[in-house]
Amino acid sequence: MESLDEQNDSVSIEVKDSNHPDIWSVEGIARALRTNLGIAKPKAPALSGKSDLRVTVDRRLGPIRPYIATSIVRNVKPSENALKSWISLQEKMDLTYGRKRKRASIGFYQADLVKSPLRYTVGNPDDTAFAPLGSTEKMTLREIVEKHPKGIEYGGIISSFKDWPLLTDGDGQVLSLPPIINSNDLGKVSSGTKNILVEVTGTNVDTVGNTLKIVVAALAERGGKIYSCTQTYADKGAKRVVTPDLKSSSKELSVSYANRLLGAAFKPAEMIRSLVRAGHPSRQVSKDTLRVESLCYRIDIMHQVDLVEDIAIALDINKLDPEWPRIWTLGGLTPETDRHETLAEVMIGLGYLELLTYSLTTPEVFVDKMGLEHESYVELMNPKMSTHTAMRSWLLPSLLNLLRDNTHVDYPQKVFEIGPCVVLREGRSETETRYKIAAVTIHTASGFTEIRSCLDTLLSSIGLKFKVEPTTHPSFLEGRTGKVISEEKPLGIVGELHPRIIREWGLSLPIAAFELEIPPTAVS
Amino acid sequence: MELRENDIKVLSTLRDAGGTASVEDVVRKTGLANAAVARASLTLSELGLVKEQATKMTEVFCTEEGHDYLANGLPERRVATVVHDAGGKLSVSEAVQQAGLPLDFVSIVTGWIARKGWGKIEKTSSGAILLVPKSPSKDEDEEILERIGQVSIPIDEVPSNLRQAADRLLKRNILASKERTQRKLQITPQGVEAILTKAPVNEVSNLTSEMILSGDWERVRLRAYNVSSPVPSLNPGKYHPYLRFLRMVKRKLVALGFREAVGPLVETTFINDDCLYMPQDHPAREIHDLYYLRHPSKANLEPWKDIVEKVAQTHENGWKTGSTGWGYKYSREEASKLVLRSHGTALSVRSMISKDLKIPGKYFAIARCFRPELLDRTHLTEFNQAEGIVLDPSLSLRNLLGVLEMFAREVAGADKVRFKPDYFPFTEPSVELQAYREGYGWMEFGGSGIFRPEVTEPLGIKVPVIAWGLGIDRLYMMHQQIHDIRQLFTTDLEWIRQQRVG
Repeated sequence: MESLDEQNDSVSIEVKDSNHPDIWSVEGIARALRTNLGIAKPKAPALSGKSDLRVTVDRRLGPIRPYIATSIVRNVKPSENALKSWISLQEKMDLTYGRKRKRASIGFYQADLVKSPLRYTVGNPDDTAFAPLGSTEKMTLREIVEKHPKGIEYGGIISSFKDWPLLTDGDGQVLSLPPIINSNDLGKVSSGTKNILVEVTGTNVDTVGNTLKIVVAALAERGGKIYSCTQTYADKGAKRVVTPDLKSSSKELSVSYANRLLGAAFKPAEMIRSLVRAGHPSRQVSKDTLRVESLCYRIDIMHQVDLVEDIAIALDINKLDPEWPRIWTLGGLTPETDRHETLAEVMIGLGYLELLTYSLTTPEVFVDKMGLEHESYVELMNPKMSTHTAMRSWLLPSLLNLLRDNTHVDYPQKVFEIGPCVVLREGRSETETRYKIAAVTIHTASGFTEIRSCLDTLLSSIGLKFKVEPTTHPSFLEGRTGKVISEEKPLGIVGELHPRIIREWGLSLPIAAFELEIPPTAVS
Repeated sequence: MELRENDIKVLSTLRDAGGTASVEDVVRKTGLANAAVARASLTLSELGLVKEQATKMTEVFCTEEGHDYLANGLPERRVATVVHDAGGKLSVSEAVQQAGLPLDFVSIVTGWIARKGWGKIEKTSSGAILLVPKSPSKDEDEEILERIGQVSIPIDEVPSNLRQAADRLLKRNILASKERTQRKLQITPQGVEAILTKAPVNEVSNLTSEMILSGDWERVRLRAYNVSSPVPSLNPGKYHPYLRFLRMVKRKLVALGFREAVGPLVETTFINDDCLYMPQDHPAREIHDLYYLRHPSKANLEPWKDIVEKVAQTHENGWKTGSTGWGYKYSREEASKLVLRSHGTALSVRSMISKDLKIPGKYFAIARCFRPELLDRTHLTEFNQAEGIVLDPSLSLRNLLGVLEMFAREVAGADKVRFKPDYFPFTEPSVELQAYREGYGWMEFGGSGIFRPEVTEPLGIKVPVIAWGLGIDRLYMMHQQIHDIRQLFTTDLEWIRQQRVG
């Protein structure tokens, strides 16, 4: 519970479980509370009978949106509040469980206006037209997808197909263009509507069936009577499917397993009490075994572990005594982290301030502004900001980026960072996260000797043998740049930055810098 | 009480000047630098040997125009001289021009010559004629200008006979005056006595190597410094404040027996999501919640082919885990997509599939993670999570609570804890940790749970695994009273320099 508003006689409740759509409505929460507080025993919603409504399913829907499940709920006559609750449930389910209507979407219709048999079929986007909900003017399917707000929002689900899903009735009236919009004539449900046809279409047969169960169960909570309908699938040897399927499922739960997982010693009867409060009718079938029923709308129960959690929640987890695990393990840092720590220690001793900068940045920073041209790097498909579009391949640009923001701060400025970079392995499209170390000194008299001294001190402190040979690099000044080599392998670069690069960054003092791969741990 | 040579000099100068002198006078007479006299007078006043007096006074000084006249003569003098040298009679305009003055000086010059009685004007048909019969002697105006032209003097010190002349020149803007505070030093009777009784001490400021070696340090006196005065500040090398905090967290976790795990920033959705039983169409895998890579976009799943098969079946139908599974067609194509690690739990997967995994075991990681967020006070697109797992056949939900409670107290410094049910696709039961800290109230600290069998069994792990994640960025913000999360990656060097280290 989030908050209690006594003045308005209301509470707001936070529902975290994205796998628990049966409590995404006022009706569902009331039902769960009743069993939790012991006001009512958990009971499956009943099927009042079979309706005459039949639905034929066109085989051409196969690759588009093959499944449909329908049911009629009679005697509902919903109040304004009830309608509001159901529409909000419909929206939440479409959004989350239905994956923004891609996997499943729900439609409500006035059952009395609809003539059996329904045809779930396909329509040509340009030849078929109807008046969409909220409008009296006929539009073609394509016009709806291109112009109607719902068409713009959800059209992408079907627009790549030649023909689009269409639901019509026995008289050929259009009920809806699933999963976009209902017709204004049949698909407008109001507080006076006595009998409601609920329809769910989608791409996943379980999701479609589950969605229908949860919706009709919520309608039944307000006194509605649930009637089933029959779907006939043309492409499955005229297979007939009756919906909704309101049967409970059941699972065996081992008492000792549950106790082990909870760290408790509950007796079977205690466990059954908790399970019932959690909405599961349960009974003991052997010394260590309970048979636990999950009512049709409890789609969150996939494994007996889910029942164990329901026991814990029904009990209140705060009643369990926390206990530190009684196992003995040896803690420690990775050799890599130990290495970073050693390097940081020496750099700090040399008077350098440690920095933390973003590794997700932009090629403008670590390629263009550094005078590089043919640099390969890891690039995002869906960047959110123009300043964060690619993983840096080296650190030095991140340090310069910081210096640029600090031209008003006392010099000398000496900074370093040990941080992750992502590089592409030569000739292959494989990525590798590599930690590097970079250091920069900027002041009126900074220069090669100063930075080279730091580099030498750093590497000799960790006992690494290395040499520095002349090299050239677009970011550095020729004749004052060295390649650092250890064990015949390149380790990094050291030198004075090119004045052009210094200006590029809006800086005006000499800069000397080095950047290295993290040196391997020296063999002593 | 010991006096230095300079102190004695200042005292003697004051005595010789009759007891009182301005600071400027003392500087001039002793030949010492301004700063040296100031230092000596400070010492002497503290010892009660001199008294300092500050008096406000009006000082008269020579203007720029005045300096010109000082060098070339007053205009009336120059014109009178020209006329006299021309035989005592000359036309006014000619005289002014010959004196090198502009013609608008005519009335001024003739006015002063007449007033000073140096000559007179005759009006003739050919214009005004100036008559100067004899060379005028030096007058008071010229006398005062000469004096003040050399050195400014207080108006009180202008001799009374020249007072009127000074006023005239002030009006003519040849002299000017300004207010000034004059500091004077006056020697006290104790000061006079000190001159006689105190021998000066020989002082030096720098202790040199020669002095140390030669023993000269014994024969000189090292000047005492004012140890209370401010000195220049330094900028030391030190840890980044946030990384310092993360090091502290790591130390605590290591002390609790946790071993550190590391992993790449670029992951496959297989490791980042599939291994955590997140269905492939889960909303958290949409482009709004996960950074996908454009280049390269896919990885080879070959290294994990055994696990891929089991994970795929678990998603589809539960495999041998006793679960129903998600009931959809698993796509290996989808699993091979590359993303930036979006949560630290991906590192827990890495730990579980590592060949170095030990049971019983405790593993942790401080993981850099990425999500497509716009930066604001509460969101970063790149952030850190502290994440960990505990593996042992004996583990239960109570142990999970025990681990959470320990973190809340040890790492977050919480006074009280409480637990709420939570939901994650990869844990069951799932628990949210709330910690109470005096002054902060109840705060949400992190999520946790026991990994679902659908997560652990395909990875070949047959024991319960406790998993927890702490919002480490938020914890640091609370620790340092930071209210904007962007501060963690700030480019403000001054802020980084100024953060306390303890």
